[in-house]
Amino acid sequence: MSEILSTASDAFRLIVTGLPIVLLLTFVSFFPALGIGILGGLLASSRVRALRFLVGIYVYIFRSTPFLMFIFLVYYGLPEFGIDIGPVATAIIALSLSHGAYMTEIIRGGLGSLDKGQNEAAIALGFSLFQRLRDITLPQTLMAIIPSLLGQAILIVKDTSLVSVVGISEITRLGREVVIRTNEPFVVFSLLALTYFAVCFVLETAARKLEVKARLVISGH
Amino acid sequence: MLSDAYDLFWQYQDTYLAGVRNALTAAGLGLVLALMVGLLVGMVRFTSRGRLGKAMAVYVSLVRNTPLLVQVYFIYFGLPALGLTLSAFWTGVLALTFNSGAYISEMVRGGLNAIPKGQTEAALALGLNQRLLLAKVLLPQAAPTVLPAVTGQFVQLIKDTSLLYTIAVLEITKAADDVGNETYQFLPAYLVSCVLYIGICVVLNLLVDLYESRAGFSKHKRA
Repeated sequence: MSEILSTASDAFRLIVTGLPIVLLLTFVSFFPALGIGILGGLLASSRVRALRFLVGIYVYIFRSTPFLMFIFLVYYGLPEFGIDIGPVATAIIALSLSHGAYMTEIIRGGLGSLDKGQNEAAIALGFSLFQRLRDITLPQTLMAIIPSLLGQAILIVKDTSLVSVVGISEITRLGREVVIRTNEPFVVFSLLALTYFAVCFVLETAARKLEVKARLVISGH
Repeated sequence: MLSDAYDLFWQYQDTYLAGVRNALTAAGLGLVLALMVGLLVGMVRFTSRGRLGKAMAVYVSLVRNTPLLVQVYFIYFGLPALGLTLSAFWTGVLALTFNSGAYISEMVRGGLNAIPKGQTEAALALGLNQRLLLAKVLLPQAAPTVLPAVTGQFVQLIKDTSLLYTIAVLEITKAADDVGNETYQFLPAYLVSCVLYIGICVVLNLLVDLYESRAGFSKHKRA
C-alpha cells in the first residue's frame, strides 16, 4: 500500500511538472492553427479555382496522414533545409500545420453557412473586401464556430501526448518513465488519464455552454 | 530528395510492405472488433437508462477525452501486470478496438436516436419484443446513416495504427524509422511512409465512393 502511495505521489509530482507543458503547447499551437485555418478557409471559399485546389490538397494530405508520422517528418525535415529550431518549436510547428488543416475545414464550413445577404449588404454599402472580412463575415463566422474550435482544442491536447517522440518531456513520457521504474502501471496511467480527462472535460463543458450562446447570436438575439 | 525517397522505397520495399500489411491487418481487425463493441455499447446506451447505460457512458467519455497513446500504454503495461501477456501486435489491436469501439458506439447511438419514435411505438404495438425491435426495425433503418460514418472511422483507424510504433510493432511509421536508422536518410524514409498513408487513404476513399453508389441505400430512405 505504501508503495502504491509513493508511486502515486511520484506520478502526482510529474503531472504537476508536466501538465504546464501540455497546456502551453496547446495554447501556443492553437492560435497559429487558427490563423492558418482562417487563411485556408478564406482561400477555400475564394472564386479562384487554383487556390481552392491547393487548399484542398493541403487539407487532404493532413487528413490522411497520422500526426505521429508528420511530427517525425518535420523533425527530420527542417534540419535538411538548414533550419535548426529544437524540439519544442518543432512540436508547435507540427501541431499548428496539422490542426490548421482541420480548422480550415471548420472555417470553410462556417463561411459557407453564413447568410449570403450579409456579404451582399456589405458590398452594397460600399465596404471593401478587407472591411467586409474584418467587420462583417469573420466575426459572425468565428462566433458561430467557437464550439467546433474548442472541440479542435481538445484534439490538440490529445495530440500533445505524441510530441514526446521528438524528446519533449510531457506527462505521457514522464508517466511512462515512472511506470518502467516502479512497475505500477494502473496507478500512474489512471492519474495520467484523469489529468487529460480533466483538461478535456473543462474544454468540452465550455464548448457546450458556448454552443447555446453562439446559437442565440446566430439567430440574432 | 524525392528521387532519394523513390530509391529508398525500392531498396527497402520488404520493410515498407510488411509495415503496410501490418497496419492494414491491425486496422481491419480493429474495425471488425470495434464494430461489435460499438454496436453492443451503442444499443445498450440506447435502450438502458440504468446502471449499465451509465457505465457505458463513462467508458465512452473516458476514451474520447484521453489520448490514444495513454490508452495504448495502459493496455501495454497494464495487461502484463495482471499476468496476461499478449504480443505487441495484439496489444495494439486491443487498444484500437477499445478506442474505436467508443467512437462507433456514438455513431450507432446517434443513428438509433435519429429514427422517429413512431417506429418503436408501432413495433411494440405489433407485439415485437426488444430484440426483434432492434434487429428487424431499428438497426436496418439506422444502417444507412451509420455505415458512411463507420467507413470514415476506418481511415481514422489506419492513421491510429501509427501509434503502434510506440510499442515497437512494425507498421508504416516504424518501417520509416527502421529504414532511417539503417541509412541515416530519415527525411526520404518518412516521405515514403507519408506517400504510403496518402495512397491507402485515396484507395479507401475511392472504395467508399464506389460502395456508397452501389449500395442503393436510397431505397431504405423514408419518404
